[in-house]
Amino acid sequence: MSFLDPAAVHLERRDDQPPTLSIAGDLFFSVKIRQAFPLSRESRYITFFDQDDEYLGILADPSSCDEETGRIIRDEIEWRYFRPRITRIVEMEGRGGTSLFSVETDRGDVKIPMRDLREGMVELAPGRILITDENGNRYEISDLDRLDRRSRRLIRRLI
Amino acid sequence: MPLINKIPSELTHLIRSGLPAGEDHGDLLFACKTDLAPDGRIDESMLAVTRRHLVVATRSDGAWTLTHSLSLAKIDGLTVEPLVGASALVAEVDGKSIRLLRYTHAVAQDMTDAVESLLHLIGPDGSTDHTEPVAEEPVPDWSSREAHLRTFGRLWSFCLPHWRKLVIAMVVTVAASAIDLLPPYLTMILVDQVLVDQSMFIWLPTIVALLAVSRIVHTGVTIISGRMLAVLGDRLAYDARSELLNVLQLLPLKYYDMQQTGGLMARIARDAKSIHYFWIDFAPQVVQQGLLVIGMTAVLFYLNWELALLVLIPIPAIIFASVHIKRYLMWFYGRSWDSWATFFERVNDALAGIRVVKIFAQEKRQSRDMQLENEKVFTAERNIHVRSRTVRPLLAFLVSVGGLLVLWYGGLLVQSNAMTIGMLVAFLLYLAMFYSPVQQLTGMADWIPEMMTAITRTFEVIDSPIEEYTPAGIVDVPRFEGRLQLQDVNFGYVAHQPVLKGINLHVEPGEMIGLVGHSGAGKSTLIKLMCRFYDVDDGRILIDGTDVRRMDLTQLRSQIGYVEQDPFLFSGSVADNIRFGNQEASREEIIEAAINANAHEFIVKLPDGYDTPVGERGGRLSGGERQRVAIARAILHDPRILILDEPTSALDLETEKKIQEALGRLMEGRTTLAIAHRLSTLRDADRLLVLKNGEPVELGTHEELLDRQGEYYRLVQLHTNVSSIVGVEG
Repeated sequence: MSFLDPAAVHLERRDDQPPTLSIAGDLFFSVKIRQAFPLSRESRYITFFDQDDEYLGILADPSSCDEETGRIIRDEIEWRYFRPRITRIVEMEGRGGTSLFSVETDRGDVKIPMRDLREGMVELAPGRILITDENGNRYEISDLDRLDRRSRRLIRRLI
Repeated sequence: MPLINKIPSELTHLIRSGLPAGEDHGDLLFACKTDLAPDGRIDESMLAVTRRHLVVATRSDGAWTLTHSLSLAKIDGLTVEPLVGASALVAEVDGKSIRLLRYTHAVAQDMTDAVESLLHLIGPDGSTDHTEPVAEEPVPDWSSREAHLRTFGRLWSFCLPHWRKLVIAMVVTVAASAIDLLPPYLTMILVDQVLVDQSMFIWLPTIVALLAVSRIVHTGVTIISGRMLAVLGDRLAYDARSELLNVLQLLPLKYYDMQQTGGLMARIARDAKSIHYFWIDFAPQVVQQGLLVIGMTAVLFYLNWELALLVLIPIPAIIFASVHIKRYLMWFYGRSWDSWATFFERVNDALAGIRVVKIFAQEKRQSRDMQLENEKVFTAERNIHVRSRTVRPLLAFLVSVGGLLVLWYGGLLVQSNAMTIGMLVAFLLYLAMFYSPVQQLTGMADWIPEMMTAITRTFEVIDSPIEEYTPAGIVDVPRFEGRLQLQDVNFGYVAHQPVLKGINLHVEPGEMIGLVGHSGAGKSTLIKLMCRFYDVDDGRILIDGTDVRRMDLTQLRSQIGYVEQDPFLFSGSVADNIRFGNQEASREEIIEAAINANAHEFIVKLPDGYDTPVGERGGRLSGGERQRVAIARAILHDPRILILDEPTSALDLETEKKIQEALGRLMEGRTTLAIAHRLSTLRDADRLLVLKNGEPVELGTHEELLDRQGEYYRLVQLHTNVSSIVGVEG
């Protein structure tokens, strides 16, 4: 079996440092945590890398780990993957081939410059949209149906 | 079978005269007409075959003469000799080669079929086989002119499921035409009774209201019929595209060998759309404009037959001019399409090869070349627009002649009180409406060939024979053990030009066979036969003792894995590509496969991990990464027989090692046929089959073949020299 045993995996953090991982008693300092399926299955399949970015292993279901390990995994994922969630579309302007979306997100208000709408807006699942702006920044609409009516109408024009 | 149904009677007599007397020849089995005389003139020749005899006749100055008459029993062999720009059919008789006839590529397929049938009659050892050749399923010929009628039939068949909607839409269209006839008549009443006479002035608001109502109803009816026909047309185009898309997946690989992908794309995108145009623009227009012309002619004659006759005077000129102008302009439209096609081709090339352009510092030249094509497009477009802007006013002038005649004669009639002013006004209004449908109908006559060609091309693809997935007498083989036998396998892409000759091989389950040979030796062809992309010409390929031709194609291919030299990945995520052969696979299984393919580590380091889009054809991954994703895909597919085309491109040592490891895991426990380029793979193979010019020349282990110092030894020596030069570890 290529997956780590959740019972043998433990993470701890000291003084805001990158976390230390223990796998069946072996210690690895300053580990990096990445998701194997960051877009389609965020909550599962967590991979660990040591400080030299060497692969250590993959955990299928972090919810089976102890509470502290689960919390550190969530924090690290939150830290590594910056993808504000859009809560409202305020305005959409189109100007000479580029578009500017003024939006409200869970991380604050932002203006998203878009050059290529076909490439930049991907519907990951029905109602779940990933927006990548012309600088490579990413934003997500987790559930289109939960946006207000005007925001929904503006987005539906584009997808 | 190129059976000619109607052989001219004088030719039948001639053929009969060429047959030896006193034998029962029975009916003519088949005949095939070719397009060259033996001396190379473009003229007809005819190959005719009975049960026992073959006759060749040639036409010269309109008269047929007999050139060959051979007993089939005496023919030892028949070969098609490829010439440049033509081919020749040659018979071997008593150790001599007899050149029977020559023909161009235009009839090559017919002749190939005829030779197949002849060989069937002669038998492999020259013994005549008197059984009837098996008639193949006839493939409809969509290219001929009379096929257009059949195309109409097919168009109806597409429309049949929606006939109710079509009938309603047509009825509404007819209603719109009828309403169109009303306003000029009301105008006549308005002018005569209300404005001039003023005896019924009180009716003014009513008539204006009626005019308004007729316009409103007409607008409403036009919107309804337009919308109904638009939806119907889109639905029909969708149906045609769906059928095309389904067929395209089921067509045999050899179909794609003969077609340009770009051409097929055009058929899906553009030609299938013609069905939409037919039902949306063409059919309703013909009905509506036709009814308008008929209705208005009737009304004009009802109002005043003398004036109506005057109206008809310019019509022959309008029809003549419309037809000729359209045909004249078609040349320029054709030129414009061609120049656009070349322009897109050039731009597409330049963009796809932008790296090569930059590395060779050829930006300016490329830009100049594209500019040249741009100029050609400009010239072609200008030619069309300048000419069409000239001829349209000329046509409008012709139309106005009718109006002038009506004004002149109508004026005289009004002056002599033979006609009211209102009637003259109504006449002029009808006139303005009359010539437009005449012009449109005339234009449509020229539309037909263009549109029918596009629709016919669509049906041509839809009716192409698809692969036989479930042959008759099928043998169920749900799980292969993996025993492979190739027995006297012969194969050529073009009949009688063998690429593989006399291949015999027996592979035990789990064995790994390396295929070795120069490029063009037939290695890839052998692999294509194993996947049943093509069928053998002679001999058999057996898996676990069953001929692959008696297996369900899906069952067969689902148990064969194929890792290409330069694997093709589909746009989609890494995970989508790994699960391509096994859609039910869980994420755990995908990860396991990737780990075994040494791909997991690089995948999880990608920003989106397994969710990362690989780009068109996997372009966002490196060559080594694509290889490993393809290996993971093959592992998850879990085939019993693995076919491997080892990459020739040199990869860095680390990647190379990872791929070799991954391949090792993939081959474990599976029967493997591998086109090997690396010495390490050759050493690991259980046995090696060495091919030269399509023939097997050596079979044995690496060591045995080295000891033999034959073809393999020479290949290895060559490889070692090259490797030492480029510094690649074998």
